[in-house]
Amino acid sequence: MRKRSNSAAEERRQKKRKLDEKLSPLSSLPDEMIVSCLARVSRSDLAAMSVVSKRYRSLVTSPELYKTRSELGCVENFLYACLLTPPDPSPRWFVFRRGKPLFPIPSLPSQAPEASSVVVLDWGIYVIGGCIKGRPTSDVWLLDCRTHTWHYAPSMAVPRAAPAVGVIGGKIYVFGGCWGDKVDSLDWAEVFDPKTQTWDTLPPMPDRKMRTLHIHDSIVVREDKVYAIVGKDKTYYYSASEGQWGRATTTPPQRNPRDWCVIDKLIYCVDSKGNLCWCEPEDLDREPQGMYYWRRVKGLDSLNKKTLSTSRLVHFGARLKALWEARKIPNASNKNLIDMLPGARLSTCGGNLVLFWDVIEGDQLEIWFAEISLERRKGPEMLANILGPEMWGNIVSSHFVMTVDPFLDHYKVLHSVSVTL
Amino acid sequence: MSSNMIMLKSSDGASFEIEEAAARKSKIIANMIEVECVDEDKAIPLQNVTGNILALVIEYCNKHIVDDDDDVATEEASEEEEEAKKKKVDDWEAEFMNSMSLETMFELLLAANYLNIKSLIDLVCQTIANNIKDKTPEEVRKIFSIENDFTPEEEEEIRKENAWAFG
Repeated sequence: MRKRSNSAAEERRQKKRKLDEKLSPLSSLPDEMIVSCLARVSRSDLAAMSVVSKRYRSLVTSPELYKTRSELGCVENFLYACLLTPPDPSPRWFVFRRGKPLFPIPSLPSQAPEASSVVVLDWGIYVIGGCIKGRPTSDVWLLDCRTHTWHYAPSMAVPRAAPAVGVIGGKIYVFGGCWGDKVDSLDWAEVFDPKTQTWDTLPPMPDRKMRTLHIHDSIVVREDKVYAIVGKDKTYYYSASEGQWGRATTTPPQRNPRDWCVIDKLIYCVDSKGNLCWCEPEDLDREPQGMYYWRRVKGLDSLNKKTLSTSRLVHFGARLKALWEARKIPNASNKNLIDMLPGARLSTCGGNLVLFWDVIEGDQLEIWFAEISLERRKGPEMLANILGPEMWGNIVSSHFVMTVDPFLDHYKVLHSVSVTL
Repeated sequence: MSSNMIMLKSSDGASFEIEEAAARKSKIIANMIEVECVDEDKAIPLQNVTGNILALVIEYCNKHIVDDDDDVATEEASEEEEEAKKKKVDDWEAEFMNSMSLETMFELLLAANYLNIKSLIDLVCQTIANNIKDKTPEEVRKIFSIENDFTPEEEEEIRKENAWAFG
């Protein structure tokens, strides 16, 4: 019993307050029912609810709420971007809402400034490995997007820079990115199970030579396969269901794409001319027959291709740049890497394609955003058998999200991912 | 009492006659009927539901049992007819919910939960959710008479944390 005052008036007041609390109708409901109501409102309404009182704050951030939301299908897609913004030494995170500028959220001072790989699982963004002062790290960090708080996740067995990552069946698969003698590490490939919070070792990619090369990128195309794009012309995949490696024969980088994304089992990239292109995942496994598998996404004439092809928003990392510099003379090319590969950042949000790129506008550098919805159409009747279906894009939204002084160091969009909450 | 009618008795002693098909909307009652623990002459006592709330539950069940029958009868109905029918139900539900206070809504939700009537739980939860939509924290506190138990510093901190979602 609370009894801070002996006076009768105080006691009456306390009694009345108790009565008010009892009458407070929403609070009289059990947690599970309040959660069932809250699950149906938008995230901005939830943000308001979390300020209401302690109980609502704890309900708004509870795992049950997010579980109910996904069961009810009351979820929204949120885009998160990680930017390198010199002179800030560490990358900064932003949340993005359509039509609004990028909004800063808490960042992680100890995040590797480059060569981390990022993967989304449920309500979290995992930042895996990376390069700190020129050395790979085995650190793994988790951004809880429900609360925008950072958590330390169990470290990997080996340090990795720019490993290939993918999510299959609620587990995170990580390959390569190992340097020096770590290339022969038995832990070259690992898998993380967030339920048990443990890392397990997987069989390494069979071809040792390939393990030493830089892995460009990784993509999960089918439900059970993580593809690792290695070097210039080799693609391997790990099949989670079979627990073994396979070789995909054809690789896509014929047009030097720098960034990929997979939407509805199709692969998208921006080529060096600033065209958005797509291909079927089967094309990755097909024998090379001299066929040109990449097709342009149609209907995007209003998109400024020139700025897309000259964008320098993608960060290559010091190591890849050094590798390029060392090899460009033997390759009889004196171009800089950054001029060779288009630097638009591609990702996907709720089935739409999302692009970040930079545009020099007068004496300012603008970071632009575009969201493009996609529609598959039958091609012209006569040529349907040869050309197959067409993909049409429709620009849902396009605007700049940030203005930068271009005379300072270039900003880079390190990662752009969509989280469903 | 016809054979497909059953009796329900509220916590405050009010008795209601309801068609078995309507009562079956409640998983709990349907279950009781299945395992034959319903005596035809005796009313089913519902200890957690008062008479005025039970009346609302029965109104809802009766309305929806009619709709379900319609569904069977007009299987071949055109899309437009389907849509018109759905709109009719939606309108009825909107009117039904509109007529009650928040307090009643909460009691109805507790009753729907106790009786396990999923569609009614969904309807009430959605209506409560609509009352939260686009409100400021102050408005929510007022509407639902919730006491703010944060210190000003704590509140400021949480507002900052959530600033991205406001405005």
